[in-house]
Amino acid sequence: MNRNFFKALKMEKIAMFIILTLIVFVAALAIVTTLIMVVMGKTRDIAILKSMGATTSSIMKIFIFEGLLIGVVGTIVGTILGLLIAYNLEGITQFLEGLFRFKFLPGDVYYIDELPSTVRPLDVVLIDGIAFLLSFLATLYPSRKAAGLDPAEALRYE
Amino acid sequence: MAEIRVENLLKSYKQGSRRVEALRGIDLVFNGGEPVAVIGPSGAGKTTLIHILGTIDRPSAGRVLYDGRDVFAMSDRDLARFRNRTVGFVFQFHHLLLEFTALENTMMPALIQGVQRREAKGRAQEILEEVGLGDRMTHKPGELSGGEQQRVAVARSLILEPQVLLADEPTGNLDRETGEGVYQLLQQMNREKGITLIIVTHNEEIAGRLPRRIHLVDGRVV
Repeated sequence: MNRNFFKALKMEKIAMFIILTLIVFVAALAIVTTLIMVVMGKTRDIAILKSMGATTSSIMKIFIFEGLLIGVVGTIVGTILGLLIAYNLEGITQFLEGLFRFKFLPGDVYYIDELPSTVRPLDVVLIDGIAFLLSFLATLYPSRKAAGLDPAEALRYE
Repeated sequence: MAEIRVENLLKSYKQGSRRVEALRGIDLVFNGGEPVAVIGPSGAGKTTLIHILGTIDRPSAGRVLYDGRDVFAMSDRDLARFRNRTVGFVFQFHHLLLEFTALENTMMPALIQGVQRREAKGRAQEILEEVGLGDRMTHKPGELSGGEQQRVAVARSLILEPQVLLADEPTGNLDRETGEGVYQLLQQMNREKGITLIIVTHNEEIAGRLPRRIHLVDGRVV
């Protein structure tokens, strides 16, 4: 009986992993779109910087830096919130159950009647690392686009 | 003082689906320290010429030689460095960075070059005093008048003491009196520092006062 239970848990963990990956992917796409908008809005400024002799790579660094800043701040805020929720899960579920007069895991249906939660430092580090890496990858395309901008074209049409 | 030699310059670019023949074979020599006006109707290729002279645009064919050196033979990185040191731009619509103060805008080319912040600041203050904006340094472009913004643009173009100053309709967006002030300033810099000054202008009065005028029509010198 326990074997089935652990199998189900394992299955659930895989499903959770896929869902969370998708969420992170969407978040990374949000960085991409935000940066593309920033680049479009800064077309004129990029052209000015280039006319003053800024190199392609220095323009690229500016936007990679901005993207990483978004990624780092997001990762830190996310980690703090996530840890707070994980450490206080019992209190939070009790509060929500009280609020909505509803039992998440009724004891007569499931083996357990509370959501178990453990913080595994390795998982935290791994997920933060992946989030950081993804946000870095997300900056590359918009930054490359910004750096490759033709200043003459941007300045030609006023 | 750079002598700029332009040889058989051709430039065409795509505008939507249309091909624009902006320059159709230009041969010119600009002597070092010489003030020159570039005049001609809209669409004659004046701005394109200025952009290519300032190396922010590449010609489709032909060469631009600064003191005999073919600038477009350089790599992009070297060209950026060359542009930073040799060329100063003043555009019609000021083109200042709006989030930065007059002082920071003026410092920008020096910061790009890698000059220490403190030194860049000192030089920028000096040159802003010179163009008469000593009391406006901490203002952002939005808080400056059109004439003041253009003075900041002039100060910015001069901070690295370029050999060539390229001005594209520098007074086009200003009223007569303010435009005259900016023009005087450009001329003063040309005389005092021996900077080669190339002004694109629609203003007949200003063009008439410069010793040499280059008339462009349909991408050719007439």
